[in-house]
Amino acid sequence: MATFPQYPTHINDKSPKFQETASKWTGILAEFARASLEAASESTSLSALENHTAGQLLARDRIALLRDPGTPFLELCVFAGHKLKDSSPSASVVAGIGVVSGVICVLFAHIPSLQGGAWNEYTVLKQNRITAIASENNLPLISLVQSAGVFLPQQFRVFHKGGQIFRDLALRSKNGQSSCAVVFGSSTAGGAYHPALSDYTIFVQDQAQVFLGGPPLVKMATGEVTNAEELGGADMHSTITGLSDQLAIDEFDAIRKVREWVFTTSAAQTQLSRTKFAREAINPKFSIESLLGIIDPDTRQPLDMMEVLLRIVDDSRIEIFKPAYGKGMITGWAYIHGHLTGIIANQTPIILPNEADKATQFIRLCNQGRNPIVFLHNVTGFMVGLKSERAGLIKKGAQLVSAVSTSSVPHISIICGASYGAGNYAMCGRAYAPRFLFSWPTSKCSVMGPEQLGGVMETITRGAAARAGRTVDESELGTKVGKFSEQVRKDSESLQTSAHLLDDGVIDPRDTRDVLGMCLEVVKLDTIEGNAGFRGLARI
Amino acid sequence: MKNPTRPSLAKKKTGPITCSAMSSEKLPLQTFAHLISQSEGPRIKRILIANRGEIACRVIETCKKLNIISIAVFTDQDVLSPHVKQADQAVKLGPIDGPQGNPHQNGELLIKIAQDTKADAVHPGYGYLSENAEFSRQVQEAGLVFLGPSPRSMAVLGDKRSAKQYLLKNAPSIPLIPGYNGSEQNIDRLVVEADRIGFPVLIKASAGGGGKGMRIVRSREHLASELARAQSEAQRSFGSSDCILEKYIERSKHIEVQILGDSHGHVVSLMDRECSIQRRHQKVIEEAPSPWLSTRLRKEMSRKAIQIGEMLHYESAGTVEFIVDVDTSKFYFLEVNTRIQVEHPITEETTGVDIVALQIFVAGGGRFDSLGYFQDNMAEQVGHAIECRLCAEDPSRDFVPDLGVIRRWTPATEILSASETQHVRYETAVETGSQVSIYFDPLIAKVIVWAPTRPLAIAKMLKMMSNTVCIGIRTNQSFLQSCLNHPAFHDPQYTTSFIPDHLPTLVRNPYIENTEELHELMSFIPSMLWRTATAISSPRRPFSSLPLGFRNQKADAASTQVDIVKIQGKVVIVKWPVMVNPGQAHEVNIVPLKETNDEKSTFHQTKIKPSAQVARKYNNIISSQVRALPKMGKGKTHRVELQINRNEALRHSTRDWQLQDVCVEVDSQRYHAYIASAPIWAASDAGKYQQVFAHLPSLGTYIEYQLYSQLSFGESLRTASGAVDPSSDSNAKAPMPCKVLSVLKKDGERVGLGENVMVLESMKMEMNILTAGKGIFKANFHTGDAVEEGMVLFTLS
Repeated sequence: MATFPQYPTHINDKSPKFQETASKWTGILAEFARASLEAASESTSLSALENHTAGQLLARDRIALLRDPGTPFLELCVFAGHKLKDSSPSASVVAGIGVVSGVICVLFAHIPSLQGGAWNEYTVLKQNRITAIASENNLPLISLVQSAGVFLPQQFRVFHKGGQIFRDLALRSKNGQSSCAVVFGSSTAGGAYHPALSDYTIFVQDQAQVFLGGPPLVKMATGEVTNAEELGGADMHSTITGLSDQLAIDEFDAIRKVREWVFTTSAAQTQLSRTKFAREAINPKFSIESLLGIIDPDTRQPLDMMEVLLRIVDDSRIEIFKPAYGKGMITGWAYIHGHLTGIIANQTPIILPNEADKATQFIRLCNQGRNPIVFLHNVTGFMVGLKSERAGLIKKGAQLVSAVSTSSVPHISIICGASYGAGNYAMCGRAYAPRFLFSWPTSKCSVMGPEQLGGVMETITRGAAARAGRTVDESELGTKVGKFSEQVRKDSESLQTSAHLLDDGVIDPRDTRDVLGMCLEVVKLDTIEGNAGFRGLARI
Repeated sequence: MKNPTRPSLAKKKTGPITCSAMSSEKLPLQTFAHLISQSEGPRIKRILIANRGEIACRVIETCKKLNIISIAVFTDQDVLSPHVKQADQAVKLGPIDGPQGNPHQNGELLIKIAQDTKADAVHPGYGYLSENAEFSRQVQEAGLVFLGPSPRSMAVLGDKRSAKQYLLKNAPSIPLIPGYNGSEQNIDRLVVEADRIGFPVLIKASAGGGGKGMRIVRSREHLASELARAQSEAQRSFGSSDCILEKYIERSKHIEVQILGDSHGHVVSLMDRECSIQRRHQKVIEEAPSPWLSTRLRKEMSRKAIQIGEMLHYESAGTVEFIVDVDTSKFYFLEVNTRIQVEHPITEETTGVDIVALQIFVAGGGRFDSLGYFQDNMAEQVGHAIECRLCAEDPSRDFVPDLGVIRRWTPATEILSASETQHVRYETAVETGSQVSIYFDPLIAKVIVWAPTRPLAIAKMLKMMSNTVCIGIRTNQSFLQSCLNHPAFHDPQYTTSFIPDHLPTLVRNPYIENTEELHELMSFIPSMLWRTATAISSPRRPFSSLPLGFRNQKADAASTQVDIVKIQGKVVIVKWPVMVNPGQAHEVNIVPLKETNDEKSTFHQTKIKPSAQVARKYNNIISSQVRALPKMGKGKTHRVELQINRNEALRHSTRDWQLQDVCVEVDSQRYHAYIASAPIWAASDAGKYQQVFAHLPSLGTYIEYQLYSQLSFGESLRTASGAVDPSSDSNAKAPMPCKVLSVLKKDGERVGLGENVMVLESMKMEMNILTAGKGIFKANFHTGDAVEEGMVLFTLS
């Protein structure tokens, strides 16, 4: 079978440099594991946990029970709300892409053992992002609902963003995208609209409670005395209102019933009858483990993206596009887990005119070839200075940003090293709506590097002082610049950006191939259509 | 001839010692085909086999060797049985429990079929009509040859009591067990008789049976008191106080002599077989020759057997059974079996003659003197043969027969090399998928081995038994190996009380002290097989190239989905790392589940709702333990590897079962395992599991595993917590093949939940069937009906 050329590695994994680099990762990975453990926490106190497990399953168990045994699970937005004082582990929601009854679905579960599963600001942001992923990729959405509703102290921050949840559900339904809500516990007030706006609902007997206002509120509002079960219990909704489509006798039954429901969705029909456009996956020739000896955790150090690619793509084979032109940007095609994809990777962190042109042309090619594109970021920005400005780099950069924006094939971004400023835009950063965006733990993302920003600030301050004829208080300036740089550094940390949902999660670099494999399979479930406007492929 | 390699155990006691002709060359099995075709009597070209099972197959095999057309008969229950496939022709008999009763017992019908199919002869096999003198007569009157003794021989010898009376009168030289069965019951007379018989004596109720009222009296002074007790017990149990006396033989052997007679008055002996290894008075292990008999005694017994045969002009095959007193070396006549016997192959193996062929030979008028095979009317015995009867029964529960489907049948001859299985015979009529039903006897297979010496034969038999794959029902396979392995069996003096004497040891595994540990250790097999099957299944499966169990959030302990395996009620969690290739070696966590005591108390707290109870139980026994498991690579793990050598999906059987031969390596130890797994979809219903059987030669038997997903295991906890299973419909199904003893409700009657509506019987066990719902009752079966497993017994509407 015809295939792409295989490239040799130039890495010697016995070399002191390799060993030294790899050893730097020990602490980073331990820290990453600690953060992951914190994110996986399902309660902040033992008593809350015991209280919940006395009669109900934990959210993460519900997800594990729901998934087909042995299938992979891509958890999304793992670090949403991470270490933010107004949020909670996983922002009180477990969500991800998994396989249910042989069908790829988006799974979503409130974590009721965390503050009753109440929504804080990041819960809502995460839910909106998860729903967007389900909708963009045409996946069924299964929500395991049990939430106390809006976390009242944050009602102002939650209320408006929260409205999108229900609009999204309505639009999904309109677009023929199936949503199922399994109600395990209370889902009141606004939350009541979650099952109500889902295509299908399953209520757990003696547990599910859905009403606009609970008994205390009813008593306050109208004086009517009632109890929760008759007001909105599973039995009531299954027999009287019909809000519940299925009455499950317990949580296991509910999970079985949603597994059965999956078969009836249109996604199941298309997925189960599809022909997978994938060849047999072949592991890379070089161990993915050795990435740790290649990636210097210090993002200021160079990163050989070609070596990274050789450890990610099938059989370490790549078809390089324009190998001798604009060498700072690697463009090419490869298979990852059998899925053909275009790849754009920063070989040097600065984008020059030729690099910009090459990437723009490659994006157009991928649109014509209907190939998804994987962006591997290590970019500090477009080159500044006389030469590049006079070469019209702004125009070329605009061409590239425009191509990234108007390209209609799926984009997947991995922030490997730095991703600063307009470089981030050109490489399809968050604002450019890639289908998926993941970061490596050591990556940095901001408008500029903290040192540069600090330097810029210093220059501006000195300039202003000079114009005003003031002398600069060196120690004050030093402190101010230092503080600012520190704040920028913190804000650019991957866990920080991830906590704010600026990506879909931080991943171990060694998982990059598998995560990309899953993402590519997901984005290829639907037919890929390129931007028709890109079809006139004249030289750029 | 003395055996120089005789085990030293035999020397422990002076007296009779083993004696058998020893040679390392086995005699070839002779059918005398050339002589049969030349014999002067009626030419037998077509034989109707009025039997089924292994003996029918056995007769068919000889027919094939002799170019005789074999005609089988079969009931509805036997449609798929091997004898039907193997025979040249087969005739349907209808249902086994039809209005005329069991058609195998219907002589008239069988004779009509023989005539319709133009058979020349009828072979009765054993059991059914084989010892029915009337049938033998009717066959002859219909102008057919009966391949067995004459009606007269049968009539005389068929009944134990009349046989003894006949011999007492006509052949006083045949030793009978001394006894008294006169009507005079006063103590003085009985003391006199007991003195004549010699102590110890056995007192039995005259009308009795089943050991009731039986008493052993060892000395004269105890006779009166024991007799009084026996008489009163007899009176109470049987309504008559009459008792009989019999010589009690403390240490006895059951040894029998195979005889054959021709129509010219010649009777030959194919020598002895020892059948002392018995349970419930039925033989399970037989050997030829008896390892204990002296040459003198051996010949003496054969001479007496020949004498009985000659006296009656005995024709065809018969067996003269004797009780031998180990302490006195005396033997006593017990009875004559006027048919071919189950254990005949060991005689064939040691004497080199095909007994079925000789039955055909003599029926065709063949003369033994023309064969030139016998010296002094006796055959030479060469080497040693052992037969084991593999039966569907449970030795740990008093050998109660078991029923069900044989999910996998693979004889050792298909597992071991040809050189290892030389001189091994499997006489069986089962195959993978065969049903062991209430209608037929629980004999699954006879395994026969021949070797130059007894120790070699025992070793060979052990190897065959441990490498015989018989999966799906309870059998005595492990028990047989325990018998063969037992030091007392290696001592030729073993007696008929071998099994009762050593029962507690014999029901234990013959090879492994702590079987539970091995069962647990091997519980990764079903789990790994399942994962392997998943990994190699359709590439259309989502994320098919991703490692099994891949997840990016590795700190979520719950997202590692474990498998849950049940072994005889014990629950084990099997946790794997991410598997790139299930075929490679992996570290696995095998964690036996601890059930917390807390559970038992909470189940009685009725205020906890059933749904909450199930969740709570799951959290306690699965979730908390899965989350507490050490991370892979830490804690106690086993390094395991599984290689599939053969993989076969069974399409012809009752369901699509999977058969696999695998080689597993556990912590550097290699094991072979032979697998039969239920289709995976069998586990897809709520709370259900996949049944996976693994036969391990190193265990000598199979292990039954039940493989659950976390979800199905969670659902299975419902029954334990008393919640109603939503998947169980109120239509009760038969749990196993059984008979309806009684229907307690009338059709149309309204019944409530948990009412007893039907009583079933399977073998000797009665079962009450309770309703799982309420409604209007309608029975699908009536009293006396036979019900297949899984059929709906009644409906509630």
